[in-house]
Amino acid sequence: MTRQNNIRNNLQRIGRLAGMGRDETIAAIRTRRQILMATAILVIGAITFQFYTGTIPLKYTGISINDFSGFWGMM
Amino acid sequence: MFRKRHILIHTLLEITLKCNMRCIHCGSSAGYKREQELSTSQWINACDQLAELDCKQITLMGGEPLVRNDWYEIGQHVRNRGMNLTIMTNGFLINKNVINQLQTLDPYAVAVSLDGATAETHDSIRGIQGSFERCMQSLELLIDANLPTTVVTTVHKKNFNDLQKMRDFLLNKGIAWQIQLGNPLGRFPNSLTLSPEEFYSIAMFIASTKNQYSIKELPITGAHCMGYHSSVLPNLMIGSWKGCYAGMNVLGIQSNGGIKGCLSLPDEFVEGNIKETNILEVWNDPNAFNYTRNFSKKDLKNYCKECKHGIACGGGCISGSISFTGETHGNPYCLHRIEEEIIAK
Repeated sequence: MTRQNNIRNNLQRIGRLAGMGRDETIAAIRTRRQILMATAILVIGAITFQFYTGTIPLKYTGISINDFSGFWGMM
Repeated sequence: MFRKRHILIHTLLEITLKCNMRCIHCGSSAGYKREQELSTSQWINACDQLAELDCKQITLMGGEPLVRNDWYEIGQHVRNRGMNLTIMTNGFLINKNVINQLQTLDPYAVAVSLDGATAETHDSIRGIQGSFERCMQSLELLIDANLPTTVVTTVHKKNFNDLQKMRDFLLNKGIAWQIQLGNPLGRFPNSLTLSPEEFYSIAMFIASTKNQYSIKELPITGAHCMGYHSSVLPNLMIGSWKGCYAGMNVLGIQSNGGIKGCLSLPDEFVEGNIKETNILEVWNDPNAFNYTRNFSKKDLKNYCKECKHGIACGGGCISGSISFTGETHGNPYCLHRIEEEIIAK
């Protein structure tokens, strides 16, 4: 957490050099954060889906689940 | 043999070094014309050669391109040869007649330099009283004529604090905004150079503006110096950074005919002169533009030597690297480096 806090504090300090307030500093990094969040949600969603249905969403792409049978032992 | 295939996309023509302004940050020390500047027919011939090389985009710049009486003729030839045309001007000479000429050229963009939100800042940087007023009038004329207009701002210590006000002015005007870092080249004094942290704050400002306003409200972009490989900020440039474009996709021709990968590079990077040789010969010379075409990891300097992005990045903008360090392939004004060395500590 200390590293995260340092980064946040440094970004706010540097943002102030160009006259940016806290909200604007957050806006600067928003897109990057949104992409990371969306990716994380997708990955978690896919794993959850797999546990519920015993399969993986990839089957809807036309790829046979048997193609991945070798991986089952690892999951 | 080459790092990647080099395809000429964009050529910048410095049609004259003569300029009606004396900007304190001018990287080409523009003012008086060079000795033996190219004639109209020589420029037209150069455009023909570029068209044969399948170049897509030509930018007329200077100095101030509009001080040449034949700028329109050259521009017209560029368009007749099917290439896109951009004109970079300080806007001082734009009047209704020039607007009419620009309209017939159907330019890709007309880029006007704006260096401050007030006459006080802009005029003191440009060295001409009344230049801010004339710039505002030009922008109005361009917008009224429905011409694609871009404002280019070179940021340094003198106008660093004007960015917010400039943004307020440019919002919802239908003007695009390109922000670039002032490099210590030409007349640019070291005392105006921003610190790496200030540079990073400009990048944050661009990112924040991009995220707060739609492209309709304010299309904003960082120039090629606004990189590289940030893990915190989104990409600020048009397209991703894959190494310096000089001699790869970009070419610059000086007003005396000197051919360089980029006009911002020092004169020792001149690869030939169109008065003596064909552009095609220079472009296809396997020994030309070695600094980008034959770049390898061992060329990296300073921090970039150990950087995980080094190979893909090539050490950032080469002209920037030279201006800050005197060496190629090690531009210290790098978002990734600043994040590693300052922000994450």
